[in-house]
Amino acid sequence: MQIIEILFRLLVYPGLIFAFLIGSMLYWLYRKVRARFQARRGPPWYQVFADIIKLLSKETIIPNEGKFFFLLAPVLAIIGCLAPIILLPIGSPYATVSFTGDLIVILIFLILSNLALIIAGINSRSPYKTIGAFGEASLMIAYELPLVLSALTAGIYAGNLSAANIVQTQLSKRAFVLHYPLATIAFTLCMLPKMGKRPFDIPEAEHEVITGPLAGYSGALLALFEITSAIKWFVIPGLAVILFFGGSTNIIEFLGKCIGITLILTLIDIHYPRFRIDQSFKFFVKIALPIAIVDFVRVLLGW
Amino acid sequence: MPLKVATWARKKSPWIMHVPCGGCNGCDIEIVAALTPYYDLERFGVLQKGSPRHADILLVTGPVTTQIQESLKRIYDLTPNPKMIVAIGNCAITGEIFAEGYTFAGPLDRIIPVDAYVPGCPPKPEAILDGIVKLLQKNSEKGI
Ligand code: SF4
Repeated sequence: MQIIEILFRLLVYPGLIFAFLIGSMLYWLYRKVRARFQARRGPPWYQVFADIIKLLSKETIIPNEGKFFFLLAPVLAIIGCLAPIILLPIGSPYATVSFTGDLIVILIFLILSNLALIIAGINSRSPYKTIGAFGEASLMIAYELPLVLSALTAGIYAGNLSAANIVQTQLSKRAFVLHYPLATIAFTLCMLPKMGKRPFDIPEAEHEVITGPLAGYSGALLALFEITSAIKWFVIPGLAVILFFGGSTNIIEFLGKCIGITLILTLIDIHYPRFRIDQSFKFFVKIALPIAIVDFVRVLLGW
Repeated sequence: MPLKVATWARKKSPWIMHVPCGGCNGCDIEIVAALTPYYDLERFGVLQKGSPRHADILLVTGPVTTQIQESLKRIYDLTPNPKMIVAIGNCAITGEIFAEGYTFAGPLDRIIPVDAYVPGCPPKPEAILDGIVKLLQKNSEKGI
């Protein structure tokens, strides 16, 4: 019985189908707001669905060399951002599966979906893909540490590294954004490279490395990557809501908070041009990491 | 029925790739102008892509020189089916002033199949948009 419930939660609600629908609407919101800020009209609401249906209906070209990793990368990417959903308490203070330390499992799965880009990139002789993969690798070194530290800040305050417990603690006290604003800022900054958004979209920059690791993909495999990036628009803002913005008791409140975070990320994305790789590295080591450490030390000392 | 959905999606999400093949750069500038916020191609779902693997429509400008001939064929082969080729500008259609030059290998439709021609030297951005929209309409009527 429990297996069926978990599968239902993984594939229908709040898993694959639900996350994809909500994620693509948030993705559309990002594209629309960006267009309006550039004095354009922007794409219609069904744009993301049209893109993905079109890609699924196109020819999929698979190279003869390095077939295994070529096929593995998109599958890893989608597993990496889908699996955390059953551990996240979405729309209620309880997750489907919850145990002490599931926050760490969530973070590892999210790393997996970035790792997929590196696998896609270095498994090729194309210089664009390789440069994109190295960009992703060096960015990950820079942003994973502040990301994990700020997530741990929330976990340690709640007394238990479990996402459901973090939400329950926030519901009974206050949202952590009020306790630990610096950790919240560090986490928000790290969400940008996690989702491949400006100013930290170096690995997937269209103009420099022609979408980097994704350059060789076509048809259905590219559609898998597009679905992944749509789901990321739901999972990663959702994680921020759970860790810092108080979680929620019903799904409407949860989606409302997700939309708020999407708008914040969109505004940052619109306002800044792309940084160089060394500039972004310095930014994370010199600014994001210290402010994450300040709040981490505060929570360890119990202030 | 599934085919109808695919036809609809192809009409609503044409991703373009710009392939300059040795013209005077006039047509290329006009394509860039068509992509600016003033004309806003994204409202039709058009995105500019740098890799032929992502592209649905190749916008080819210029008379096709002997040097770029082989690369152009390769780019054509790298583009996944179904693909559409649009010849932009008089050069791509006839060779125009380059037709008598020693580097001339074209015109375009002698090298790869062409689906639509947009004449002009250079064509206005409106003409390029019109060409793409008419091509998409024709294709969706044929159910491609
Ligand atoms: S058609 Fe005219 S503007 Fe376009 S590339 Fe040829 S000469 Fe230049």
